[in-house]
Amino acid sequence: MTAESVHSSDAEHRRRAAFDALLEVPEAERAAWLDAHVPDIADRAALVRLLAADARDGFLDTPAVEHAARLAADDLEPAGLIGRDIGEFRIVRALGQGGMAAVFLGERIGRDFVQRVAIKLLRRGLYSELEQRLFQRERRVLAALEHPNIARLIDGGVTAAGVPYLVMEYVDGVPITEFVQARRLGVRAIVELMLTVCRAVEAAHRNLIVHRDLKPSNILVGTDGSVKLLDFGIAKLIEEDADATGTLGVFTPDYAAPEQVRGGAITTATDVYGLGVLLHELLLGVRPDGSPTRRPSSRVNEVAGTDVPLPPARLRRLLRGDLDNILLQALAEEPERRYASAGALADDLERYLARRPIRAHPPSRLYRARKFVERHRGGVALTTVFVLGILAALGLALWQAEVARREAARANTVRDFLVGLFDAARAHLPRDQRPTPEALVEHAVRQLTGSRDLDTATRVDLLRTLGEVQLSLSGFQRAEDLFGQALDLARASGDAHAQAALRVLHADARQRAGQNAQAVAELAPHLDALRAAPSPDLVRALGVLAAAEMALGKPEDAVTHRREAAAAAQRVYGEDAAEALAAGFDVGNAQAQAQLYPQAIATLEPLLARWRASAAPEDDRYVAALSSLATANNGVGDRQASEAHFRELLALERRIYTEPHDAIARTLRDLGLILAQSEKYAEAESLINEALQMLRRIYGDDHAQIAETYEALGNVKVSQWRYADAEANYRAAIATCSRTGIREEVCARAHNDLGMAFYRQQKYDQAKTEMTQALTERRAVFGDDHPTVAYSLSTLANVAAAQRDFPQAIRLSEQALDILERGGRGASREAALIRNGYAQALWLADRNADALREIDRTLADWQRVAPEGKVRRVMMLVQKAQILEDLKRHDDARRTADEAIRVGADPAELQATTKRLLRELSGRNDVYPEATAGTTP
Amino acid sequence: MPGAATDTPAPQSADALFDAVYARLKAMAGRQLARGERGSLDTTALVHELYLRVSANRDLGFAHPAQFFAYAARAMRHLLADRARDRLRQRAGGGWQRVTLTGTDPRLAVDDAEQALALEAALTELERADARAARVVELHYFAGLTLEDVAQTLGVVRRTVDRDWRYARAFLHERLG
Repeated sequence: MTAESVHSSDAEHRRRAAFDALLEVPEAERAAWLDAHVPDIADRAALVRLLAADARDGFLDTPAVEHAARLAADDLEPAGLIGRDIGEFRIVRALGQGGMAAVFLGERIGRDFVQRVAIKLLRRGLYSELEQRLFQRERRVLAALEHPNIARLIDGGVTAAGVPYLVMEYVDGVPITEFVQARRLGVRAIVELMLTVCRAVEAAHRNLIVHRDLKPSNILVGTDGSVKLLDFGIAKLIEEDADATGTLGVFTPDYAAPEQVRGGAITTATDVYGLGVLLHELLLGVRPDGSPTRRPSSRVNEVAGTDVPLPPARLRRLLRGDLDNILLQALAEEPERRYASAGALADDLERYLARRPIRAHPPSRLYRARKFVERHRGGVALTTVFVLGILAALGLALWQAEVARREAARANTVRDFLVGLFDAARAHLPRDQRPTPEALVEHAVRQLTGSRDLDTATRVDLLRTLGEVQLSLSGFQRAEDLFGQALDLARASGDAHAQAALRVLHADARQRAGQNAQAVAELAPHLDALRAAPSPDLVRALGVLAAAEMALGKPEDAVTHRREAAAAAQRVYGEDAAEALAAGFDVGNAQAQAQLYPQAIATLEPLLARWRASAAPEDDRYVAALSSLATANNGVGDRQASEAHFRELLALERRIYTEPHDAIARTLRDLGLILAQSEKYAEAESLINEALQMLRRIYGDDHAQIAETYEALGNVKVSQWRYADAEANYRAAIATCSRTGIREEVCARAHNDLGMAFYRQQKYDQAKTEMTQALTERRAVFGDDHPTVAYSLSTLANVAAAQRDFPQAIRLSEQALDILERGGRGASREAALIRNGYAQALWLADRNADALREIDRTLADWQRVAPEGKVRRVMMLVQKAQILEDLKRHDDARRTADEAIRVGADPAELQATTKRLLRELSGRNDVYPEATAGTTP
Repeated sequence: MPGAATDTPAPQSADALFDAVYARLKAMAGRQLARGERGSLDTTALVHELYLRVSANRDLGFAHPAQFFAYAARAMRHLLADRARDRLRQRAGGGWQRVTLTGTDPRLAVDDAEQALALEAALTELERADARAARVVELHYFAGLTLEDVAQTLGVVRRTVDRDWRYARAFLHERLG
């Protein structure tokens, strides 16, 4: 038998034995040894090769892990994949590259849709059955994760080439950090945004999915503010780790939790850390510096100059306390000291937003007390009013005691009473059910009623203070009741001074509770007595009176009384005192409300300048005045000034109030409406939509303000002739009303607006239906004689005229004007406009003499209420000239046309028809030549 | 030789045990890489750490440490081969094209990959020719045990293991060229 026929294992055995023996032989003698002991030539050759291999270094001299390390995936360029199909999707372009995967935009083109997706290609193969099983299992878990703020996993698998891939919902947005910077979001808005993020992460945590790689590029925000988290659990899918307790570095070092870097266990607390880093970065513009105990707010100065929208001092103040504590707990080095899950973090953020005590803080007494006060801060001033109210009562009593000496005992009693009040309130209520100011007031009233230690004067003082607190809490009925009790006591004790002051307060409470006529009746008989010696009481009384008159539809009287109040305030407080300027603001506010726009501007502009020049804060009074000015600017057609003032107002409110805030939303809406008038439609819509979103956050979907905002959106669309879109908005406003049962002007107005939209589209029957609905609602809500009823009638008159039913148009106009005349508004701006329509209907009905009479009255009224309204004046004069022409008074007609030309209206704003008529009626072909005509339809 | 005894083994299939060890080993190896501690890359430390973790986990039962190390070695073998395949696929298939490689020479990595796969083939050959020598390679090279530990694990004298290793190393290097 030859060597070749021997079973190979025999050969290997021989070679192995020979090799072992050879190693015992000195190297120099090995060749001889081989010749002597290995007869087979193939064996000899094999042994020579083995000896050579034994002598040299090779693969096995490097540890296996080191080889494994060298073979680990590295940067790869996937350009060749564009245009290829993966699953049902075609790769369109590269979106980004990560360490372990490359991401592409993919599309699936269906019959009538294009689905856009993000396709993630992993940089490693799945060879073992185990890996494929794990991949598929994870994929199923992730695919089941459905949440509006989490990008969905749509598909996944392995390509023919063995490349694992994942198909995910494509999200069009910017990283959360960019979004926050671009919008210059305030602290509150940032916390709200992060709350959404935390809630999404929480949902995943409930499904036992940990993100592991939370960072700005994984959290995208769309232009509409919607948040989407990407790549949930993908880190785990990608990394070569099948074990939740073991871990590997698929993470981003800047956002990684300490245990990720250390290789410790990954838990939900790992994501909490990532969320903490993110919140820190959003609030301060930088990531945490890794110090576990340093308060983030103390870093504000270092990071000043970065893209943080707030001044450092203010930012520091906002962060100090709760946000510091929340951040420190989220960023704790040891996972067990952090919030246990994103949900726990979210809960604390929610508590922060609701001004309730957060969990991250050791609950000290002082802390809880501060929370209590904050929580009940309705507006900016409420806390101050509340605390000052109590202190003022105490201070007043002490002062009186000082002055009177003999009343020291009484002062002590008041002090003891108030201190005891707070103690009692604290002691008898459970800790987590701390009293509201309303409850404290009620408690105080009970104490007061039961107490025998207090004399009458003290009781009156205390009742008055408690009433003022109620007033500031909008508890108007209760305040009225408390002032009434105090008034009775003061009357019984014959304290005239206290009686006068209490009467004003009582009337104030009634007016604010909507009892306007009663408030006027209560004050009127005592006004002259107050006028005899100007005092803060007089200023307040006149203010209450004016507010009641405004509400009663007597704006001129209201303005008169505001003027008197301002004059009194100057005498009482001094000309430059904030109180005097504020009283002046109220004059301007009333003028703006009464639509006396030029007067409002004349009043407000110098006062606002003086306010700014003084050290007075830009507070809510300043804001209200600025808002009136902006409204008045718009009223006189000065859109530029109006826009500028609304923008200033918006900036100011964003500084004063925390978002979301009702005032900010309203200003956004107003500014949007102004911009729409200047044809800046895109910005207008975006602002109003922002307002809508903010109001939704404040009020939910069911609120009159939501309807108002839909209506505003509709108006913007009408001005772009987008009637279908406008109709949808108006219908949304109407639906809001009917869903909630709100019966406010906006509900009727939305019907009327919708009617006007139909009217402009010449859909007169539909227009009439909607306008009639508006009319019915206005009559039901406001009564038959309300001005808005007149406006409804006048729009219906327009429709009738358009349908050439002139007698009906005339009847409706007469009814409308009658209502306004009887309400004392016969010469108002609105009345002039309605009368203009009336005159036109008369003319069209061939009642030229009546038409001439009405157009003359219209012109006279218009000159008075709107001297700046030149375009409208020209149109009225053209109308008059036409009437004169029909009356065969040709010379008068020409003279009137000349007068119209002399008005000097901007030709660009005049309609082509108007210009043509002017040329014909004046007989002058040189005016408004054709070339400049015809730009306007 | 670490911990002589483990907890009472839970009844588990050999496949499940292997899966568990493989997964953990990959994670741990990957972490070592992520930390960039290339200098301290050490199979022995890795496998021993893995052993400590696995033996602390009551869900995973091994009749004997030897069984564990056998699994660990096989796992490391698979790990290396899988990565090599990945590397070669990335070079050749699926339109993926390598452009840069930080730290290492790309050519070297591909050579490594080809060698790793050649090693896998040669080791399979060695298993047929000399099963015990192949076990020694697994335990010493892949699981990182010292030759002394290998001897204890396999229940043979140290001298035998020395000779097995010498022969296996020469056998494999010869096949790898």
